[in-house]
Amino acid sequence: MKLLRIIFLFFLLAGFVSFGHAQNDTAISFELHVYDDSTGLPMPGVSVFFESLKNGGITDSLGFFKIDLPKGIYSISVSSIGYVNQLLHKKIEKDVSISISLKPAYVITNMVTVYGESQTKNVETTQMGVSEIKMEDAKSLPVLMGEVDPIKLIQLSSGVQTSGDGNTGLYIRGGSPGQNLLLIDGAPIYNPAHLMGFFSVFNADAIDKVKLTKSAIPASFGGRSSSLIEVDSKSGSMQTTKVSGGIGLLTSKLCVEGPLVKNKLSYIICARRSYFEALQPLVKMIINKPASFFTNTNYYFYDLNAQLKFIATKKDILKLNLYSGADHYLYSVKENQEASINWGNSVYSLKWMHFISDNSSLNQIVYATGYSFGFNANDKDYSFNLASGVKDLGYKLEFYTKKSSRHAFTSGIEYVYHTYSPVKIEGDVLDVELQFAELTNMRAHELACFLSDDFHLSKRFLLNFGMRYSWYNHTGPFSEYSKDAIGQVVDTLVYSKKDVLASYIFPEPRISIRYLLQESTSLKASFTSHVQYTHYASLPSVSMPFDIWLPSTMKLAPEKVYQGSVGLFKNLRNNMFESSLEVYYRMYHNLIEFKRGVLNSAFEQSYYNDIAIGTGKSYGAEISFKKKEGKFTGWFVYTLSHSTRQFDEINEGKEFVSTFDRIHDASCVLNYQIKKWTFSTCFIYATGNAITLPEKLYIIQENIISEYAEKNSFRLPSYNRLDISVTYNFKKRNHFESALSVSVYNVYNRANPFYISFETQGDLKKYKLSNKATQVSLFPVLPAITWNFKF
Amino acid sequence: MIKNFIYIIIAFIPLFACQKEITLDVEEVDQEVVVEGYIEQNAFPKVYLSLSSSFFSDIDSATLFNMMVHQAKVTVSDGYKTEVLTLRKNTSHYPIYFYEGTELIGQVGRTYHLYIKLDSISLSAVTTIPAPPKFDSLWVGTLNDSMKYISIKFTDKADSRDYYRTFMKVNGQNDQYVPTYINVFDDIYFNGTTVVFNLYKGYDGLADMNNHNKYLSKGDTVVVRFCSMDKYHFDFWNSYQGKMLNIASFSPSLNKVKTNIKGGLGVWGGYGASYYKVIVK
Repeated sequence: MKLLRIIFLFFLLAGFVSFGHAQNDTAISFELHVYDDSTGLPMPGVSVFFESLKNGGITDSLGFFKIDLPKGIYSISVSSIGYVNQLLHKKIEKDVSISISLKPAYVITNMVTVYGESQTKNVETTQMGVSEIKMEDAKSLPVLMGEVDPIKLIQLSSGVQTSGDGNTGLYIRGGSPGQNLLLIDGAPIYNPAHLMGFFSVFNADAIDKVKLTKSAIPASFGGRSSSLIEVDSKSGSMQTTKVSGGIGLLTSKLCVEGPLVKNKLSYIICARRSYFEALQPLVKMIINKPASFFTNTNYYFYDLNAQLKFIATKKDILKLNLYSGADHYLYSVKENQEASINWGNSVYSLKWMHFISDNSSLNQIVYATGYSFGFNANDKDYSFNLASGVKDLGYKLEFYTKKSSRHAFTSGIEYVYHTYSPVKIEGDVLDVELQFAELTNMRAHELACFLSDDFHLSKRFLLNFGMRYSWYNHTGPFSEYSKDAIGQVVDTLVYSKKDVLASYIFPEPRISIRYLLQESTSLKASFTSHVQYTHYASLPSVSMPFDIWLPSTMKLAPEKVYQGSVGLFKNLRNNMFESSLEVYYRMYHNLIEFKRGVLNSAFEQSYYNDIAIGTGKSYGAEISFKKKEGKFTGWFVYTLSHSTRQFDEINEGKEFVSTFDRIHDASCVLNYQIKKWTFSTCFIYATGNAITLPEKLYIIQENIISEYAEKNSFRLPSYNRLDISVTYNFKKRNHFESALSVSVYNVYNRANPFYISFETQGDLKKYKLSNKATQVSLFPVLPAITWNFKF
Repeated sequence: MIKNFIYIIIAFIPLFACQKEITLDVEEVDQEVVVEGYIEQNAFPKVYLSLSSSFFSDIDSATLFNMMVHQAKVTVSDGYKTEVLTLRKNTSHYPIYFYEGTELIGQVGRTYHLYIKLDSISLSAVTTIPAPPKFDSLWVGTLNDSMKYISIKFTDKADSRDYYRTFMKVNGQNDQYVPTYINVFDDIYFNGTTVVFNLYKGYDGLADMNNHNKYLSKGDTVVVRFCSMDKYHFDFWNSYQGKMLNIASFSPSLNKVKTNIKGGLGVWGGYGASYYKVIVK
């Protein structure tokens, strides 16, 4: 465990960045091999930067970098995330090949960078709206119940709306959680929530880093329309067997890694499980009114991450990844009366990275991913079962080649076979079987090809142009029922496997440009378009495990998103400080929303009749300021934004603000490192959720009917919270390292609103009536202690 | 019945939750006239009128009193006969005033128009009285001596979309017919088939909501009222029932209760009703 590290985060460009000047005839070949000083392994993705040329590139997966240069004296900066920067001064007069080792930087300082750039890379690339977090460095941050959560940390980035307590949904620039392409080792994962969204499915010990891209998403990524979140798992050590773990309040976890064949084949297995049920007696003491739902509940979640990494040849690396996680919830009152909810994700992937030459590489991945949800309830008189899920089989091929110093191309194809089982409900009352609407087993093929070019127009201008073409077919087998006015099935259309029910083709052009104003200042702009064929719907108002995924069909066109953004990036004081200002405008088309919630629709037997189709827009400005080096580090981000929706059939067709619209959203994280102690603090402020309130009441049959005002026309109080933590790193003894973290979540015990409920009481015959609004808050001040170890 | 399960999912949330009462600053809204009127075969039409109020305004006894409407002109017509209803008083009901006919009697198959004039406000509505439905049989179901309910069996007509409502009146407990716990349903799930339902006691007004007992006891004498309605009448009660079932839930229904009243809120509905007396043994 490297608890304390300095971080220099770099953009990992789609390939090598080529030089901004023409090659000359007397070019000299410069080769560099970079190794990890602690493990001796080659280091991929290391930034190699030539100060005088204001340009450079990164090492390939074998830690190798090659470039042609004119003769001269060069200062070469070699740097990587979490490693000590090396500055080489070289007089290069003939072809040269050198090797260097980078030392891990965990003794220098401790800092979490949510904006992933290094030195001047944030200024120099065309990439915008990128946030990156390295999990090793997040462990000293104050977190809820000591549970480091990559998704919760990404929520501290600009442009990501604070979703509040008990919600791991990522609402990015006005998009819904279902519009984020969430990849674990290159394979998509559908539902990243444990415990109804209180925690994400990512075990921080098994994760190397998480990267979020909000603007200028490369053409090689598609299928979702709002953002790209890439989660990379850790690879096992090729040298020695290591064990690490953590004991926390809510969960404990253990990781084992090591070589199977030294320097050839390594493994890593990480497991995590909650033991919430063991803490029930304690929680009962704390909670004033333990609900019967709590006392009769049995709940746990677990997840498992595993990877086999195989360095087959000098040019071939294979990675076999597995993720499996699930939540199980059982509520039982007595015999024959119980309800259970089970949901989970499984992802399997095999990735093959092949390096054809110094200037070209081929990456391929094949994967299977699935999400399933089940809800069962039984009583003496009735039973009810609901199931939902989605499965994907996918393949992606990506070819990178640098044709000249001015062009670097990325091209490839991607294919996904989707099987959707959106909703299946069975139920009976007193043994009479009820008929519900069903949406089961719908199949679709999605194929895309893409091409992009990093084009150096001049020393100041860098252009990235990308084009993605996507094809989509909704195919059989499928049965469609036509019904008469009274809901009777009068005809059934049966489609076979070969039949195509709906077909779509869309181009998705993407362009981004950088103009270097000065050495440490640049102006960037981008325009991207995205098509999403898989629609997402969830229960309104809360992030529940019950999300449903629906395919595009003849009646349901795919979602489309267009985004334009412009940004100014500037580094100060020799790159000690980074700052940026970015503005964006987004338009959403063919968004879906269930008019009355997913479950209500089941009772009406007509899902598609109950889906409203609408549009949305969001715009905003994001400011970030960050101190990257020194004992005192941290960042401040502020987002000013607005996000609205318009559906003809919702809110009488009037535009309304989206639930997670935050006008103001700010977060500030500070770290102070002194000897073996690390002190961290985090403050968050966000405008309150937009909610719908009752505005009118009337009396029918001696009962009160409340009528609601326009959708989301009222604001809850603001969300704000301060967390602090202290971490002490014990002295390393015989390879055994450990650290103790004490953190306090919500220091000033702010009652942040989770939801508001209304209660009407009285007796009309006695002319008594009262309406009460009650605010429910999830987490009061919560201290936590976590012990992490490694040997 | 099934919807109750949904709330179990929702009720999982408050594991750590803490609650506090808050005051919300919400603007006042205009008042509207609310109609609760019905006509049944072989009976006079009956109409209650009241006004709506802002949800978060201070509602004291004077406000509730002023929300009752007793100065309106209420007229009912069946196309053959038109009658201005007479204002009456029933102090055991809210609102205490109601308008009732003395000549015009409901008949199966006829259409009834309602006209209301209150100062400068005019409201109108229309409804029909369908044929009364019939049970094949009904019997008492038992959990124990103090936990009993009524089971009904009936056969739905296959050639039409039918809309039903069920009520109960327990002698000595209710002054009027009280809708059963689940009381509004149509035949979408069982068109043309024979089905069995259980009927439980429903809320007898707002005061009954907190300490509600849905079971009958041994010795109760119950009259079950089984009604059919037309679609617009059903739409009102179905959306009303959805609202009532959602009242205590985490995610209240934001949908508006439908209305068939032009110019106001509420309902004007015709019932085709059958009555069955049961002594709970």
